Parts: sequence; structure tokens; C-alpha cells
Amino acid sequence: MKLKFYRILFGIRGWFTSALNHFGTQADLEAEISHHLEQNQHHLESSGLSSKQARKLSLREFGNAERLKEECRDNWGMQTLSNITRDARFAFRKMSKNKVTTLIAITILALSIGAATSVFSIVNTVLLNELPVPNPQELRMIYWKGSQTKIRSCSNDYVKQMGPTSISDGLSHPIFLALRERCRDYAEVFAFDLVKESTAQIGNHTFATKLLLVSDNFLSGLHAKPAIGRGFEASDVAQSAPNVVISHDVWAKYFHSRPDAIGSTIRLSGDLYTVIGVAPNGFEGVNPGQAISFYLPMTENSRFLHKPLSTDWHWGTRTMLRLKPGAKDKQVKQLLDAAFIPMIADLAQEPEIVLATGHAGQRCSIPPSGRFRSGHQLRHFARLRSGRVLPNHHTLYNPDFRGIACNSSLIRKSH
Amino acid sequence: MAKHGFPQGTLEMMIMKVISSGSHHGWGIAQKIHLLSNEALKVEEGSLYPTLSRMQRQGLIEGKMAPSENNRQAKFYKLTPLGKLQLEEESKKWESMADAIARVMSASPESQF
Repeated sequence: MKLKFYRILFGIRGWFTSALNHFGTQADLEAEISHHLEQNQHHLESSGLSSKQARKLSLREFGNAERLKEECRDNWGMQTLSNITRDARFAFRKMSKNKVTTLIAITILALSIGAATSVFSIVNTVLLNELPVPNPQELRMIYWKGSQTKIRSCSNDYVKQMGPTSISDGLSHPIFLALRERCRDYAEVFAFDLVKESTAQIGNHTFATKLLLVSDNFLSGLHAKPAIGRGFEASDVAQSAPNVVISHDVWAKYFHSRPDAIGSTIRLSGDLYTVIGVAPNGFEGVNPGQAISFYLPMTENSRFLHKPLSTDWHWGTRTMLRLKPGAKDKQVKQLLDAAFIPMIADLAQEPEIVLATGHAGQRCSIPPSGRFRSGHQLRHFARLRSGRVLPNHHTLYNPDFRGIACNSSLIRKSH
Repeated sequence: MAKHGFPQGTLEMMIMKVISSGSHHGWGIAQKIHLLSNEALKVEEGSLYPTLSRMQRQGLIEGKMAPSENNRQAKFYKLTPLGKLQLEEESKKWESMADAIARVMSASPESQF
């Protein structure tokens, strides 16, 4: 045991000493060899040989000094190092001879490294990053599943019959309110709805932007404490107050981080809004990769919705919850189911609430069962990253509205 | 026979034995083995120095440059604690091995089978 331990310890020390002291060891070896030759010569002289003969004999006995040095260097582990240097020099010479091949090889390498890096950065943002809020592990995404459900886009009466079993993240606003109320003691349920295309006007600057319509408890539920000002309150929603919370980036870029940004007005898709707060630094909403610049209250007659919120047209309300201390997933799911199932009984069979991880926001939540839409999400995200925001069934531009309508809706067939 | 002319591992063992009584430089080690073996063994330089460097890397011995008896710089080797342990173990093994071989070789023809 002791021997084994010593072997490891002294083995490491020995390797480091010879590897780090490469040039010292080299010089030492030279000195050692010449000392050996000299000693041997003296020894031979003392046995009666002339100095010249002794020198000659000593050299002969010693043999090939260069080979000996090489063997010693091998033992120091230095041969590998000098081999690498030699190979690198050789490669460089070869490369400068075949410039075209080299250029092609370098280009291919650069492109593939670039591609790998960007794929990683997408995966990192979509799948790995946690939301920059305290205790993200307490967050859950709320999905629901059912069979024989019908999905209809609220803007063009397109009805899509879903397969035998489907999983969805969209809920109607009345259902959200019922869920929120039912598990008030165990979890804070909050809602959001992404508006991907809008225009913002701040002073002389006009730019395209993304909005998030949020329930009044969105920021407080996430524990995203505003950097300055305040978040939304129940009165903002009740009174449809034209208030907006801006992102930290917008505050820094267009207001130069001045505190008097609070109270100033900006235009979103043409309408005036008053800035009441600034989201915390680094917080970009709950859709990683889709940085949100403005948060608006999700109000009954929001111009960003096709129809009043309380009708059951709007099945695009996404919901999340934060478990309160001590609350269990199972317990919360039971409460949510109790509120949810009676409300959806006519629209789907075997409906059920599904709680999924929410630590990284919406795009990477993984439902415990059912269809994981990461492939679709990744492709969509890649389009967003490349700047080509294409309308799909989530984003539908409706010229009748001054704003943009979004989200598919699941509704009762009216006839 | 190993390439340096001694049974495998025995050169290392002899080197460790020689420097267990005090540090020696390369030439001194070779000379001492030569004398102690009644001039029967001669360590080739071509195998002595690579062996020394290997043992150094294994941490069995350590070398230090110091002036020798003729005032020239030489490397003096001494055992590390690992080397001491290794020497004890190897000499035990060697004794039992030599003993066993000796018994086989000295067996009388009658005692076979």
C-alpha cells in the first residue's frame, strides 16, 4: 500500500522534474558524459596507458554518445515534444507549397468550427440557460393534453382537428384565471402571450420589436424585481391602463439609464404608453432567444388581441407557475386538474394538465410525457436568429388591426 | 537476457544497492558494480545512463549536480524514499529467486523425479 502510494507520488514528481527541467537536464547529461569520459581516461592512464591512448579507449568503450542522449531524452518524455515541433515545421513547409489546398482546408475548418459554435450557442440558449431569476427550479410550465381536440386560428377560421392525443401550451384566459384562483395557496400561476411583431417609437427612434402581454403577477411571480419603478398591479389590468414595463436594454439604449425614464411616454404600434418600470438587468422574458423589450398588461380589450380576452376565442394564453415553499407538483397538478377538466370537457376528451420544467422558460420546457417540440422550436429559433422572422401559425399579420394578432386558438366549433 | 546484458531488472536493483550506502556519480556506480562483482560484471555506459534517467523519471532515485573528486561537475545520485522501499522489496524477491534457482541447479541427478 505504502509502496503503491509512494510510486504514484514520486512518479509524478520524477516526471515533472525531468519534463519541466528539459534544458537543465540536457546540459546536465552533457556534463555527466564528459565527466564519465574523463574519469575513465584517468582510470586507464593510471593502469599505464598514455593520455592519448587512454582518451581513445575511453571514447571507444563509451560507444555512441548521441544514441545514448536520445535514449535518455526518450525517458524524459521529451521526444514527443520535439517530434511535435518537427511535425509542425514540416506541416507548415508543406502547406506553404500547396497554397490552394491549404486555403480550402482552412476555409472548410473555419466554416465547420463556426457552424458548430453557432449550433452550440443556440442549444445553450434554448436548452441549457436558466432564467436569470431567483430559484428558477421552482418554476413550471403548464401544458395540457387531451384527445380529439380542435384547434382554430382566431384570425382566419382555420380549424385543425388534432390527432388522437395532442399536447398544447395555450389556454383560454378564463381558464387561466380559474387555475390561478384554485391553487393560490400552493403556487402563483401567471400568464403571458408573445407578440412577435410590433413597432416601437421612442423619441426619434422607431424600430421593430417584440412585446409580451403579461398577467399582472407575471414579474412578481417570476421574482423579477424591477430595476427601477414598479411592475404591474391588478389595477393596471382592471383599468386597461396604457402602462408599459421596458427591458433593461431599452432603458440603457434609449433612455441612457436615466431614472426619469419612469413616467415618460413611448409609442407601441402607434399608441401611447407610459413607462412605469424597468425589468431587471439580464431579464429578457421567458422565451429564451426572443428577447422581449416591452411588457404590456394582458387586458380585456388589448389591441394586440383579435377579440376581447374573456371570450373563449383566445386560446393563446401561455401559463407558468412558481411553486410556493413546501408545495408538491402532484398536489398542484390535482388542484389544476380539478379546475381545468370541467371547463374543457366539451372541447377535448381525457383532458389533463401537464406540469413541465420551467427553469429555462418556455422554449426548453420538457413535458414529462407527450410530444416534445424541440425540433420545431430549434428550427423556429434558428430562423429568428438569422433575422428571418417568418409568419407561421403562431404569428399572423392581420391588416384589419393596427397591431399584430398572434397565437393559434382552440375554440368550440360554432356550428 | 535483457538488452543491457543483465537479467531484467537486476541492473536497477544493483544501482539502488550501490547508492543505498551513499550518493555516487554515474562512473562511480559502474566502477563500484565492477569491483563488488570481483570484476565479473561490467556495466555498459550505453545502458547505464538511460537506466539512470528512467529511474529518475520513475522517482526511484534523484540526481543533483555537484563537484566531484577531481573538481568537475558531475551528477550524484541518491535513493528516494520510494527507491528505498523498492530496493527492500526487490532484494527479497531476488534472494528467494536466486535461492530457488540455486536449489534447482544443485539438485543431484538421482533426486530428479
